[in-house]
Amino acid sequence: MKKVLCLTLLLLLSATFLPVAGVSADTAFWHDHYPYDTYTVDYRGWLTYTQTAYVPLGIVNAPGTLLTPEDLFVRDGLFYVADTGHARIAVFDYEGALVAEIGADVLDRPTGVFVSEDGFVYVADKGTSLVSKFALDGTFIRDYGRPVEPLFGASSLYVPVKVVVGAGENIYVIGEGSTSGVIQLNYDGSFLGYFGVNLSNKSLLQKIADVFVAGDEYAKNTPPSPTNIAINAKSLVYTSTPNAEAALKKLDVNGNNILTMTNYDVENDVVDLAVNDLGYLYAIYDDGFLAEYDPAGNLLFAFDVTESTSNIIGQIKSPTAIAIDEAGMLFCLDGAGNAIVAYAPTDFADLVHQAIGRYNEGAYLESTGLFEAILRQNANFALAHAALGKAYYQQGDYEASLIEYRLANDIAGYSETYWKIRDGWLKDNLSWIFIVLILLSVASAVLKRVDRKTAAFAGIHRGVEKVAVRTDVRRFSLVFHILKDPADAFFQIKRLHRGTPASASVLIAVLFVEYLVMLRYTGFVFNSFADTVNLVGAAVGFFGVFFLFVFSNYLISTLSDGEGWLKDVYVGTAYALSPLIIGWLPLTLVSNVLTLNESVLYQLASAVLYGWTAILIFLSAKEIHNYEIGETVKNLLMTLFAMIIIVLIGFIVYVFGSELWDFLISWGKELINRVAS
Amino acid sequence: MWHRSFLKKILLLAVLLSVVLVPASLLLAERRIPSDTLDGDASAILEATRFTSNQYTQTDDETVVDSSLTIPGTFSLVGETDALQLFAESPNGAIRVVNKEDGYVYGSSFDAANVPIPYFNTTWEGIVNSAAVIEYYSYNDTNGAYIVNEESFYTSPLTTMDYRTIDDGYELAVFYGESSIGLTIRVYVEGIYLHVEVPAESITEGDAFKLRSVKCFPFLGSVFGDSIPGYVFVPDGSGALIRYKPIDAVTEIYEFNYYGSDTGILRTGVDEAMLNFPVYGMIHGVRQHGFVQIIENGDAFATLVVSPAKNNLKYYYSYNKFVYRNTYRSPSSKADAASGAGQQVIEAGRNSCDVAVVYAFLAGDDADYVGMANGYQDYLVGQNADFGRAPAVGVVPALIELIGAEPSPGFLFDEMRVMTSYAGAGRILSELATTIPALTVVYKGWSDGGYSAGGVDYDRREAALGTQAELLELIETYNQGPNALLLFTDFLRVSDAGSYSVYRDVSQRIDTSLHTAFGIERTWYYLSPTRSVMYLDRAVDTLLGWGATELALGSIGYLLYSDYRDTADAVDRAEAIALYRTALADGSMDFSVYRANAYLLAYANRYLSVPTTSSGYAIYTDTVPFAAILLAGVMEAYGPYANFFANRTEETLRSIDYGLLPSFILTEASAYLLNDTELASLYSSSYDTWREAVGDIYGSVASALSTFYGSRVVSRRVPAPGIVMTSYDNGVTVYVNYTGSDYLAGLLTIPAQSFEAVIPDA
Repeated sequence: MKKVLCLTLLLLLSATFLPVAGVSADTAFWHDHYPYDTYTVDYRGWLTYTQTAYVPLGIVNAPGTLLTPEDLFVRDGLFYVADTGHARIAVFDYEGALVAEIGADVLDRPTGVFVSEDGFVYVADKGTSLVSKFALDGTFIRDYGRPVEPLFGASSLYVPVKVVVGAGENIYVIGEGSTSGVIQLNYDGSFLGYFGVNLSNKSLLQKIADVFVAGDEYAKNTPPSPTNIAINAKSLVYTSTPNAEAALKKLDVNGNNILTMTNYDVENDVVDLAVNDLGYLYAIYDDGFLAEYDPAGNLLFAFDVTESTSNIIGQIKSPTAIAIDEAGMLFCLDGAGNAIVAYAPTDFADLVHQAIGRYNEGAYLESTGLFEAILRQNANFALAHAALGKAYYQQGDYEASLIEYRLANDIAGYSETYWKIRDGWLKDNLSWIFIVLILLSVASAVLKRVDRKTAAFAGIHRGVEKVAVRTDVRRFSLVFHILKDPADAFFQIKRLHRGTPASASVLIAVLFVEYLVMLRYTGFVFNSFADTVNLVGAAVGFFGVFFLFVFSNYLISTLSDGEGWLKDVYVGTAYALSPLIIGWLPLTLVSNVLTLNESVLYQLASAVLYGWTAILIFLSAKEIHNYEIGETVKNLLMTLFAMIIIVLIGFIVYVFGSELWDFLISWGKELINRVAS
Repeated sequence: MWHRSFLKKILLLAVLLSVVLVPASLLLAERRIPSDTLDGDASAILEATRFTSNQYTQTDDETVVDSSLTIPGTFSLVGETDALQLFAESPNGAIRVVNKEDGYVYGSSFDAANVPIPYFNTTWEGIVNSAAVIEYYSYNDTNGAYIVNEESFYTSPLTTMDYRTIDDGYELAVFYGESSIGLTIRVYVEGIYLHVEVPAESITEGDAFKLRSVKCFPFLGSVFGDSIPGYVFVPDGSGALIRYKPIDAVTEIYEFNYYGSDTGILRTGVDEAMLNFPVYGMIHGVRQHGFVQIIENGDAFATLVVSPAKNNLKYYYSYNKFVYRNTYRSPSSKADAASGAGQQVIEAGRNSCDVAVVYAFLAGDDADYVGMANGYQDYLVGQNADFGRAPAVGVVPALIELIGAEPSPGFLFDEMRVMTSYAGAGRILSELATTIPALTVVYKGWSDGGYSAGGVDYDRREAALGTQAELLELIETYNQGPNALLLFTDFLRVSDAGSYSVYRDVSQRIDTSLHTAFGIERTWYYLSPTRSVMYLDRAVDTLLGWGATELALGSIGYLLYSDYRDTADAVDRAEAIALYRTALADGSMDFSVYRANAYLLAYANRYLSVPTTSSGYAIYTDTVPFAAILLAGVMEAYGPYANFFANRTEETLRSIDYGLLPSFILTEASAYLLNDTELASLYSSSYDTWREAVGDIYGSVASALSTFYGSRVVSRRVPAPGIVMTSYDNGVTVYVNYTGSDYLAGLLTIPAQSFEAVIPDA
């Protein structure tokens, strides 16, 4: 008790240190001193440092030329900015000179701008609720107003905020609050349909609430509406929706999302996205987080351009748009700072793009050299490892491929490659295995016959018999007996004391060791995080759960007329884990030679083991306490409940204790302050 | 029999397996998108924007600038030397300085004190015409906060000024009427310098108001909008210029704390700008007129204030402000402590700030940032003849940093990841020695506990890296001749695992919180300066016995904080500086320092991690290699690590442009082993992958540096964006072309992304 108190006190003491937020300064010289760090994704799926991918160059436009701009588009060396505050589209060249102004007399609150390949400027105007079309010299051509087709919906809103135009002058409009998706218009303004609707996502709580609320649903079933849109050279549309399941979507002709974010899930709200001719996707999020994805949806680079406190080149107060040009230069529009900020790609970024390009073309051999160059510059670049794994696989170098897949934490790839290696091994050695097996069975048959005809092994049989009847051996052979006849085994535990607390403790210790082995040495295909296992955590989890169960079960049983003593419950539960004691080691061994294709075998075996253990625990409770089936069920449920309550109480004690400690500390500090001053 | 059926089952399984082995389908998605080559046409646009950004130096506007200030009749000559004439106005002490070399007149005011100044109200006129302006705290009873007020000589009619001339200058004893604070300012010329001093013992304070800061001659050198070409120089990182531009709607004033903010007093905030040298300068007409101000004393408490020409005040001005007393928040609860809130308190006493600055006036070709760097170098050499160790001319060394061991979370306990063992280090170095004639090797993480868990005891090696004999042999082999092996030690920053006493050794901030910082997984403690120095002395004694002659010191060069662990004997920043200097003045051991602040320059053998960038504030127009020029010819200066070069060609050219020696971090094992340790920001270091690149980068840099290394810089010009021309005092001129197209300089062609060194005929 005292020890526990001391430990708690020590824990609470450690909470009085007040560290300041700051990165350890000694490695400060390992960054290029740009105002942001650049990250890529490592093998754990976490962000890890990498060389700067995009370097800030400066602000393109002169101060005062823009006012709360909301969209940016780049084509043929010119910037087209939806200059919302000035109610116009401002056109700049790369030197920052304002070369033209479009729609100043017609537009009200332009929030979206797009320039098509055939040289027309489309503007989505939130103020006039129209999409306007201009020629490059500013001549007004026509408006696209609210569609009159009944398919559009009588009560549907038409407030265009963003627009893109595809081949054949298909116009895609993002309307504010248009929850049915992208509004698709024909070149003549007729409504073609809604496109790319999002999925409505109700949380579990909301679904539960729906059950109880009478009448209308508690939570509306309407999906979030997309807020921004981009289109690539092949007229494939991309949409972005903040706060949705699939924030970034690439839509096929039917409006289905064909983009999967594979290696990292950004949780912030996306503001705008841009896509270049090669299919690379750039997204900027409302807090200034900027991410680049490759055409397959893998996060390549991410950096944070949020303005901290001071005005440093490359930082943005409030991002509203992002655009990319053919040279790979990135531009971000700062709505609050009224600036177009330019970023240039570095050699490292170009190298990554080149490597992915070669890989996607299928030039695996060439891409190997490039990915190795990437890894030379950043050993943590998980994507490069995965790609190298595939490249080596294609070249037939399975050993190297296995290593790379392991470094990339790519279980699917690892499994495939391992299959090939195992296949090769089996081909070489299957004949030998069969020969050995046949020899063994022949030898066994011969030995049995010899044993029956002569009494040559009678001595051995007697020896084994003698050992088997010893009490201490019988304690452990109970583990096997319990598998065959559990009822009898529990009877023996309870009445004949065939199992003792000592032997049960030995079994639990053995089981813990097996548990650690299982955590650490299960095959990579089924357990990719073996190196994050920690002894203390595992011990607390294992012993904590076991002893909590035993203790709670005893408590509950005492209250409901169970016959078992604490000793019996302990021993019984320990022996009930026999299937695990016997099965975990072989399972671990086997898992090292299985691939994903045989995962069903692994899962089946695991299910059998755990199911059997559950049954044995049930039987243990029934037999030890002499319950009927119904009583046993009740007893086990109550045990579970008791375990939860005990954990909860422990937590509450800890919280109150630390509050009390905090109070005492602050009381002391106040006292010292008053006395000192 | 059970074993027969068991065997049967095995057989069955084997058969099943071989039948069931179906070729797996490709689980990775097919990704086939045709690639186009990127358009090379747009790269020209890219380049044009890149080289006019503030990461590069811009071309100078060399319009002739003539003196615009006059010497009104109220000024009289109070001091004269061969170089300067000093005029002062009585009784307010405004000055005019005439540089005899070019006749240019510098002034702290615009006209006589009673003449109104356009665009300035009376408060500002008072500031312009005062020799010293103070800030003081007044306590607001209603909300318990301290307000900072500014007072010049003209704020209160009760202010008395007692002006009298002294040898070559004047002394002015002022008593400010509003705040009842008195001080003396002494201004005089000596040789080529103008001295301005505010002796600490002359400061008197009343009871009601406490002195916060003082600034002298805030408008000396100020420029109206972009009336003349020129710039303000800020020693931010490598060095930054703020060229005079037309008056803007900007409202920000920039304040930079020299040597970083004092984290012993201010708890939150991360400095973006790092000023290592207590200087700033202003140029009136490039390569015509200008000055550089050097802080002799009080640098630990100084803040550089720079203001661009704004709509209300229309002048570029900059000055140093010296802070005597700070406020801080005293937390009264844990929530307060976490958020940085609490009751506002001011320091009871003043710190040991004793203001003394000198101005060096520049004329002709010296009036640019190169002249400022050379002027400051001359000043430092004048202060301490031992300054630096002149590098051997012609031999181009390289810095090889090796990481030894690093602890990482393991199964049972922390396991020690061996990145480079002693034997492995020997192998790497012996191979490198064949291509690099002079190796400066820094071995990090060699001691017990590796890099992050070593503590401050540096008396035992890390056993996982090899035997003691191996370590001693490594030191002996590579610490001789042209090579040097430096053991890395850090006595200021320790992680939470190490053999030291939190109670006795860790520094405390003024609000009694422990001085800590977060690392990746660990908490790092800052040790009290007195204790750090003690551990340093102890380690020096031990390591001398191991054959070490030089240590590489981390943190001590750039971390400067005050310590309040011992409330009776608090150590402020100036006292910490004195402690560090005494410790490093130990003659038996040499020290190389990372990113050293100016106060350690005289005690450092080599300068490691010279900055090459500034913080990139929007107001900056150029980045200049002030730090590199300052160290040229007097100290070995190593540039940033090549491992982190995102644009390798460009950064290599920058090393050549700035004249910095190449640095590399290498390990035997791959860097991904460091991914879950405190060194996670090192993502590329394996020698096997870097072998070729080290050779390439060293080869390029050495081929250039061998022509001029060891010489001082005479001039540096930018004839076109992306082209830099540097001349050295041995006659060599180096052209660096960062752009993607060839450049024609007279008859000489400099190829794209390359350099040319023009060596004069003997």
